[in-house]
Amino acid sequence: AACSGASKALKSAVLIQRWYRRYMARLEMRRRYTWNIFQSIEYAGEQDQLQVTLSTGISISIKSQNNVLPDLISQLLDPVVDPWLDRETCYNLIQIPESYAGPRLSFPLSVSDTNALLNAFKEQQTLHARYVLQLLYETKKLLKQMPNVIHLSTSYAKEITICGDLHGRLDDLLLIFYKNGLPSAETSYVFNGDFVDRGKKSIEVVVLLFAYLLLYPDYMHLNRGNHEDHIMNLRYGFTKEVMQKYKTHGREILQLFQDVFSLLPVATVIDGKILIVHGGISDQTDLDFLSTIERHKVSGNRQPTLASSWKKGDAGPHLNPLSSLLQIVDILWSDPKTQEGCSPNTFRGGGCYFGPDVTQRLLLQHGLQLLIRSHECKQEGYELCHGGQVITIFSASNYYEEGSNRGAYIKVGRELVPRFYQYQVSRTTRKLTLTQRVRAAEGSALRALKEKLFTHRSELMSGFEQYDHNNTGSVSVSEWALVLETVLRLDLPWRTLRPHLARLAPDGSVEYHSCFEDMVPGNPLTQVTPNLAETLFRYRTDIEIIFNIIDKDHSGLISIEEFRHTWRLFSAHLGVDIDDRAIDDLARSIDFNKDGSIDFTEFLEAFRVVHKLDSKDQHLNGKTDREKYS
Amino acid sequence: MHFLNHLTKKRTAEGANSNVFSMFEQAQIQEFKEAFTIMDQNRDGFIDKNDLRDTFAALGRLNVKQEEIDDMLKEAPGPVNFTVFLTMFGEKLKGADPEETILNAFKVFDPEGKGVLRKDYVTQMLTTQADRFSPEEMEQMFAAFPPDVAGNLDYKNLVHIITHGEEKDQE
Repeated sequence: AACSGASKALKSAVLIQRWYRRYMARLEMRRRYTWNIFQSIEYAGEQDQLQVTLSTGISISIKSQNNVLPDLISQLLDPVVDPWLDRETCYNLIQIPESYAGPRLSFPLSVSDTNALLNAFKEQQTLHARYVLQLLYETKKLLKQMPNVIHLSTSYAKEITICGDLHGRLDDLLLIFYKNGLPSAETSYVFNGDFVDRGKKSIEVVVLLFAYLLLYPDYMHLNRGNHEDHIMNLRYGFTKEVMQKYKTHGREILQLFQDVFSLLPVATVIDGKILIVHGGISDQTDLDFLSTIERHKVSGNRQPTLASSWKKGDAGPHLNPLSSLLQIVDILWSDPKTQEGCSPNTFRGGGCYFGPDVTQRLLLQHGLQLLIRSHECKQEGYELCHGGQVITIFSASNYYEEGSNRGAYIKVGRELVPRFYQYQVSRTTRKLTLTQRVRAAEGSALRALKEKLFTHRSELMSGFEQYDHNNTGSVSVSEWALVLETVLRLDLPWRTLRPHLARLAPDGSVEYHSCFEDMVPGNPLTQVTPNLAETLFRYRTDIEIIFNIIDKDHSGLISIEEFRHTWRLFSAHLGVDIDDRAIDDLARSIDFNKDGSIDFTEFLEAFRVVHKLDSKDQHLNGKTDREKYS
Repeated sequence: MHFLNHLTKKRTAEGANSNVFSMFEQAQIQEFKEAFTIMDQNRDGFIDKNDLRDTFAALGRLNVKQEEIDDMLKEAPGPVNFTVFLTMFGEKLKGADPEETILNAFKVFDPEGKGVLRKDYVTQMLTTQADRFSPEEMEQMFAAFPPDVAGNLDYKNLVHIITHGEEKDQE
């Protein structure tokens, strides 16, 4: 009897252990594909921007660009002429109203200025455009004197703190300063790129970093990231943030940022032993060549720049401007991989995947012992690979979603042994369990994914219909997955995700209409054809920026004629066939109060996608001013 | 993963099936392929020691002994590529034990039917026998399902949440 009792206990224990472990494994799977979703969507967007695709260094193929609106926006912004910005009087002419309660800076900066900035930003104040411009102008002057590769020494700086991507997260930067100390002679910093885009406080982050750079050029060091680039800024929020916060001087400010970003150093070396770059390396990386490039003339992103530097042939002592471009693109965009070798980074559309052999070779070649890079979000804020020779450091906590990841920074002293410090900005005082965090992140990822589906509805529907010969409204799971993968070009586990995205018919096939059931437009515009609606959804952010540019008096209104004119530009650039009549109908339908001008905030409201299951959104989406005026 | 261990033994007992793909429908195979890809973190077409070790770590089992991983991999005819994976995992990847079954398993340790178990008893039960939990795994479970102030774990609640939480997430 005792025997069977013991074996029963054993069996039960096994059952419980196995069952619980399966649950944890499933949770881990969900966490991983959630991460996949976020990264795929993130990198798919970035891919549109990088116009130069690299093969293994022998030939260059120019990838056709899908989103041409950045070009249009650049055209609209370009009219502001450069030379004006190099003259001191540009910001001196700007009057500061008496009512301005924000920080007032005096140059050269002192600690009281940086403290004033810290306090002001904590209080949600905005720095006046005049000071932003002056700060940028001074930063530009300083950076011009700096080499491409900065060499630091621990005998001078003692302990150096290295931080990764911040992406406009002011809270994370303030947390780092709080935990680790403000930049000073005792506390040196290297910030490894991607200060802006995505987060809502990019301006505050980058102003603080530049301010400390000006204050302590010997203790504060900044590397350029792939987001320190005006094309990325157009897509990922920095341009929008500047235009919104600085309505009058936004364009000049953006222009100066463009100059400053291109002047940022691209690499930092500590004690000749630790190399710090934003993305990574390739098998072509040559630190000596890198030091000689005229970095501000080379951009990893713009085709016209490439063409013009070809024409001028003045991208440095080397005759081939292309190799300069490649060096910088590799540094800013590459990612490490586990297999050996070096292959094009197809995920990102630029730079390479570099293997442990590439790392080892480069370190050996230059007498280095460690490569520190950023560029990829990591759950713990940092990650080692290539046998510990490569460290990824990422400093924006909760990057994808509340609770998605920690942020971290590295400290090195004279012994050059890295120590890791982690943190996480938290909105709630209640700690979420692993399950809750996974569920929250998963929900967020799925919503982003559903929006993608919705904004490509027409293409997807015609894809599905091609397989649905008998017009049954359903296709097989494989066909469904194939259409999604082809249209959206996202490499995701569609079958695993299917239960969250679409309904099955009783026979096991997918009812493809159900993909779009959850989502409705904010304010349905009845005059708008589906094709046009989707285009507007997809390019919402760009359209908003363009409206802000056109709206010179910042009234929130543009005239119908301006609207029509802009619209014709859109359709020409986007290659979308929208005839004039459709545009007129559109204009008339959104001129809600019939006074000849369009409130574009209301217009854009129509293209905010609402998730039906989101009761909070439904409440906000209730009655609009439109009802009042009709 | 631990059911890999369990299944490996099952498979060797039954003998290798060369045409494992005929066991499943195309759609199922595609689904397993996705699961395989998710687990294959370095995307090289094989689940190797690193993938296994990382997965263990993510599940709270840190410092898995090399021998344990090697043992698991030894059972497989070669590196764990998708076909091998399918043989080992296929049938077990979907499906769940019914709530009743798990409850009864817990009740074996709670003969008086109180509905709760002492925290240290649970620890002893799960870490000292059968497919032992590591201290980290145990910690993780108590973090997710904390015992009350008196040190009692409400196992009925735990089972209910996991079973029904999973159902809700699958819909």
